[in-house]
Amino acid sequence: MMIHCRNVTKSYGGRVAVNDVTFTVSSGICGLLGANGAGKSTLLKILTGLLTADEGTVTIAGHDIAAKPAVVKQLIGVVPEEIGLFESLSIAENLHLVGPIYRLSAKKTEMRTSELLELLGLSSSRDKPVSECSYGMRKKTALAMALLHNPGVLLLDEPFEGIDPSSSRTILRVLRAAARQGTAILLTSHILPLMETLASRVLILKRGKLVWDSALEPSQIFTSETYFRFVDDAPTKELTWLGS
Amino acid sequence: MARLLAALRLLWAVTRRDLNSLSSLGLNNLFFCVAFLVQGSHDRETAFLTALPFLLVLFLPMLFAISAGTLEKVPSVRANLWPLSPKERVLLRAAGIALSPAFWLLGGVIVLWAGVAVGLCFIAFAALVQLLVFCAARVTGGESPFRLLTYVPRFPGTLGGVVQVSLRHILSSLDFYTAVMLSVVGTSYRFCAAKPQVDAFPILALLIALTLSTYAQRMFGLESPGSVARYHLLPVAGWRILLAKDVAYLGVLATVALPLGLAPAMTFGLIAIALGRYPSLRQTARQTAWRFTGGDIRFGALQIVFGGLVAMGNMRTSHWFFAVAVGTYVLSLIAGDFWWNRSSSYHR
Repeated sequence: MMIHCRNVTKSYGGRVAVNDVTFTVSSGICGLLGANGAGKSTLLKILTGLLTADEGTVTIAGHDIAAKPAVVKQLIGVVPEEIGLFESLSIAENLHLVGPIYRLSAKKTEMRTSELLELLGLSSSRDKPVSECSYGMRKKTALAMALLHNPGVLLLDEPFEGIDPSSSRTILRVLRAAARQGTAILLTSHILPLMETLASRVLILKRGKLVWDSALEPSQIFTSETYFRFVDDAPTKELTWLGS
Repeated sequence: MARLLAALRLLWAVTRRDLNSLSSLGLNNLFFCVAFLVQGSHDRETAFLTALPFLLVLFLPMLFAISAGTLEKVPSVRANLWPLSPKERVLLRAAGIALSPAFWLLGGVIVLWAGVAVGLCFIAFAALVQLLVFCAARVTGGESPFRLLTYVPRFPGTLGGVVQVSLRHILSSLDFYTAVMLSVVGTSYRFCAAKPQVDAFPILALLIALTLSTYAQRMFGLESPGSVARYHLLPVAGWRILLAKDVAYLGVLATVALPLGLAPAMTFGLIAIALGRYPSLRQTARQTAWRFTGGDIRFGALQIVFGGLVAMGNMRTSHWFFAVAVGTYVLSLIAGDFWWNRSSSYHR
């Protein structure tokens, strides 16, 4: 399934958060990189229908998100920036809540819930209230919710943040398998070595503008250095008072 | 002491910022009940003594709500990291009450009604409640002792999970427990009193509906910003989410008011939801579990006046007033769907 983003612009007040961004992801894993505040999460919110673009269009599998939000939302799986869990429910209850809304039967919802929680190492905590879960457990639950209805498009905001190494390896395997089956995956991350190995394509945002798209420069392979070439270097000033 | 003063200055700055809008006063519709009682009494002292048991039912949970109101404007993780001694923390909590606008309003009403002596007793009582809340938090380690809500089951249907979440939220607000107390008192009166006045039952049912009405302004108040975003990500129309939440609310109201009068309570409840739709979806007032719901005075007044009028009409004259309530509710559902679809509504 295809993610098509054309001339998308979004401003907050006078500040342009996303500036005339155009790209298309037809399949595989696409990494969306940029410094904090570069506009990655805003762009993902526009792609998921959580925000409306001021200008431009977004289509998923040929459906315009603004015109047919319910159709598009049925096709996508999302790990949002806020993780998006129901705190008063347990891990399993969160998945049971969304399953029927994605037109899964109760039986299928339970079957997939068990499989996903086992895969992500959450089986023993399935009845634990989300409010008592660690950040990593919440992130894994959100990922399970995104995968539950076998979506054709995955939009993941920092899916590896706070995840332990072995679970990260599992998630990598799951995402690669999904991509092989034709799922289009767009994910943000600040873990550059991971992006080097995982993403078949990389987009870099800087102050809302798309400054690098690896698909447009096939001769260049993405490395961490590519990122630093396009994103401002961190200040090197030392704090003389720290530790004195 | 300097650290304590700095913390208090911060709390005051946060409170003052919030005072910029009327909706931040965080008042429950019960406040209107108190004001109504004050205005209606001729002999102040006698009226106070007569109404004392009733006021205790209303004030006790309200004091708990006030006790935490100011301090909870600061994230608990941050507040716990402040380098304060245990003694300073007790003082901060006690002083926190003085920064609560709701405390001064409530205290002012009591002083006007019952005199300075009773007002001082109120302040002492409020301080005692502060101490109790502090001690309880120390004993439980800040964890909620009410884990029974995890037994609220999932309901059938596509949106049964949304009803389940909503029920757990309603059951974790003090409004619900005050309504239950009123229902128990009213039901006992109905079935145990020698000659109960039949006219009193629907009035009590209305009072129960009024007690729950502030929650209707804050249907998403106990949701985290993340779960609100999740609702917006679901492939389902906004009005259906709202309907599922309303079903949970009306189910609770019907259950609690059933022994006293279903029709007036439901009439009031439908109007309360309809008038609470806008603040529910467009105001960003987060609520805290195990506290009273803090509403918006303007919408609270509307709920009480219009809800009361339509429910009274239903009780005294015609059942057409119930149809008016249903019609108003349906209109609010349509408006709610419109507000839901405006993307900024998810930003809370």
